[in-house]
Amino acid sequence: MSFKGLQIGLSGLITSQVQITTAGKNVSNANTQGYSRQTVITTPSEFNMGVKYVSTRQIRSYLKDNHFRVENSAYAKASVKADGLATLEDYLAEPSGYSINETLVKFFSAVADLSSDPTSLTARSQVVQTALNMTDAINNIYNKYIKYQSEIDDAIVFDVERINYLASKVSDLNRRIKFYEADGKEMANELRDQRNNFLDEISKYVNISVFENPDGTVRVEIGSRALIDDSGVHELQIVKKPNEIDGERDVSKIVWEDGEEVNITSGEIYGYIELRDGGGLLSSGNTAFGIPYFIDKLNTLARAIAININDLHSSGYTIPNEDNGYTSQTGIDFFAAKDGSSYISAKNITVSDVIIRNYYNIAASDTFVNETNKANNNILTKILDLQEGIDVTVDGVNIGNFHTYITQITSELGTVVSEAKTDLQAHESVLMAVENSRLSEMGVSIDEEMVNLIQFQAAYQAAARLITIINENLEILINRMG
Amino acid sequence: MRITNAMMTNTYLTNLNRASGKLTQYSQQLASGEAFLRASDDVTAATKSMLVYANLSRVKQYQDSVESAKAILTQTETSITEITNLVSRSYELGLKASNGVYSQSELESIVQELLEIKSEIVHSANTIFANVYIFGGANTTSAPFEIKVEDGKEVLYYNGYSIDELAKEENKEIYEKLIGDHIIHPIGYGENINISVNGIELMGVGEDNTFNILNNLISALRSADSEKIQEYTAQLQNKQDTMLSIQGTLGAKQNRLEYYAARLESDNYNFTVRYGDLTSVDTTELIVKYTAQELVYRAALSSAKYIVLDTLAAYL
Repeated sequence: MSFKGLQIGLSGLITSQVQITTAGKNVSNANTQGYSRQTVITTPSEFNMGVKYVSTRQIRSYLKDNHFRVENSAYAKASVKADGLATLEDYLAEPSGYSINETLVKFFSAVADLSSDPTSLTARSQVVQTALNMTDAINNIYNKYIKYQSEIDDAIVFDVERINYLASKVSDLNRRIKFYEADGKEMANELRDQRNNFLDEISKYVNISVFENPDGTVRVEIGSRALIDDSGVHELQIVKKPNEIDGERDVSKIVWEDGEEVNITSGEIYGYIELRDGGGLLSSGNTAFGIPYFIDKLNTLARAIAININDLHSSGYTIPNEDNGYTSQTGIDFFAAKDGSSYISAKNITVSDVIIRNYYNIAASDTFVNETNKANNNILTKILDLQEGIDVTVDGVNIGNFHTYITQITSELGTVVSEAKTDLQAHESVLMAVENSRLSEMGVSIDEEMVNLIQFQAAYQAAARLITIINENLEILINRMG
Repeated sequence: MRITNAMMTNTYLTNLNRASGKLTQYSQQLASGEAFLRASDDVTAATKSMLVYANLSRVKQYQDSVESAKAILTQTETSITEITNLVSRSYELGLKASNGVYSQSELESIVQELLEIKSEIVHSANTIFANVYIFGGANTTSAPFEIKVEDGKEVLYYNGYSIDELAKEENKEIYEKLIGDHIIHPIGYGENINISVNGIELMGVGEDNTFNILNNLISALRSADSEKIQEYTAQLQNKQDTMLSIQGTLGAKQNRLEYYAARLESDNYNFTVRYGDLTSVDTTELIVKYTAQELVYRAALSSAKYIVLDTLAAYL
């Protein structure tokens, strides 16, 4: 008889203790984000010396991590778009009491009032006030859209900075994991969890592909160029490029060190880019429905209003007043550009100075006005008919009429928003399924750990029992014999 | 499949979020009474409602226009009836005087009455209604008729033109312009009604306008020229007929306006109902939905204590 049995018992005790400790670690990290459960690898000891502890490994699927990241990018993009488009819709504020449609209706009502009493100064001032309300509403939405676009651009810059920061963290962890795992025995479980967390976060911002090297480091690519490789981080840089909306401030373009544009196809940043640059299906640039698309629609509306009403108004005659030297004038525009530019758009549309200076400069009459020839309302009734026309044209395009056009914009935006919301829900479901599938493998089940604990405790008791028995046997052998 | 604790809480939270999201939407609709706040809530209904709203506003503009046309028309009829009565009275007076049995002093009292009638007619032709001179055509801001004395003779001016001169060939263009000049009242898309009666239609132009006839009659009475008196009296009868025929066309216009008023009223009603249908919620249906959703939400909440809290640990 030798002491071998005691050694075997001892190896059992030690192993059970390690297993109990690991189960404890799992239970205490049950709700830690990104924690993958660990399990103790044991093997029968050589030379029949009981059990041998090999290592503590995490249970984690590389495939499921990648799958999760792809879906995480797609979800983040859908989420940004649903949010952003809903904001655009909020700014448009249709249908409500403060919308373009409402101010348009009020303007035409005022014109109708003036038409019943074409010389009334009160009615004229109402026309000017309601027209200003309408142009303000259009300017206001334009400005909000532009401001939102620049906020989005700022968000892109923040995201890029965050990606660079996270990439440096991952690169750092790469180095430490490589060092830790150099002996090929222990795995750097906690460091790997941290690195995966960082990679998960990067995947929220941008589409990445992650490849694990045999030495435990990872290579991270965006659109097949390396963000992180053996040599460290290749930081993303920001340069300026022209805005898709004419005359507005430059926006950010994300490039590699050598100036090549980063091929971004998903993630939060891609959602932002689509919102910022999306010019619709017919655009030569980004074909998503983004801010430039809707700005273009607003411009068309503003131009349609200005050009069509100006066409009619400038063929009319004003009432003689001190401003026009007491002579009836013709060829006066009702709407003008704020900045004096000849190109009226949603940004600059306003009521022309001449009209604001003297309300008698509203040209209601289609004939010259003087003492013997009074103002009629023929121009006003033609303007009123624009409300119902089906062939109002601007820049060679038939837009129906103002009401149908603003309704069309609202409908397009509404449809895009509701699609984005549906899309978001779909991505949410998929992401949840993928996340659950990942958690199903790497997540901690407290029930399971409890069962394991009972099992490990029983093994510990059994090993202890073995030691007692061998001890008793030895006592018999040593004390009672001889 | 292994089911882990994080999976259960994740799934639970997502479902709870969805349940409470729907509940919020229903309660918002109930509280506001509006079926949608943004077009994306219900694109079809929202965009339809915008067009209906614009149409409704257009119908209201037409209604205002028809109402004001009706009011002006009524006032026009009243004034024309007054003028017709005055012309009839002067015709009667002329007829009486042409019998030739009146003394000079009796004739003078007829002259006095005719002078009175003459200024009454001009006054009526300058009737203001709601700040508008109704017989002024497009001129609604100053009195259309004005009496000027030229070479000791009274001449009637309409919107700055002598009506005696207007019948002349060289003034044809001006006459055409004046007679066609009026405030348009839109009563439907591309449909306008002209309800104004021009002062010159009423008075006539040229030498034999009502004003001149009365003046001529007065001077004939003063000179007791019975032949002339008969001649001018006969002319007055013609004027009377003209006025009656104008009254007749006004009646037809009145009917047309009534017809449009009724049609617009029904348009207004239809659009209002349609707008209401599109924008307001069906409360009964919504309450049922809300209650059902509330039940789901409560069930989800109470299930939390089983899903989230219970583990084997509690039973060991």
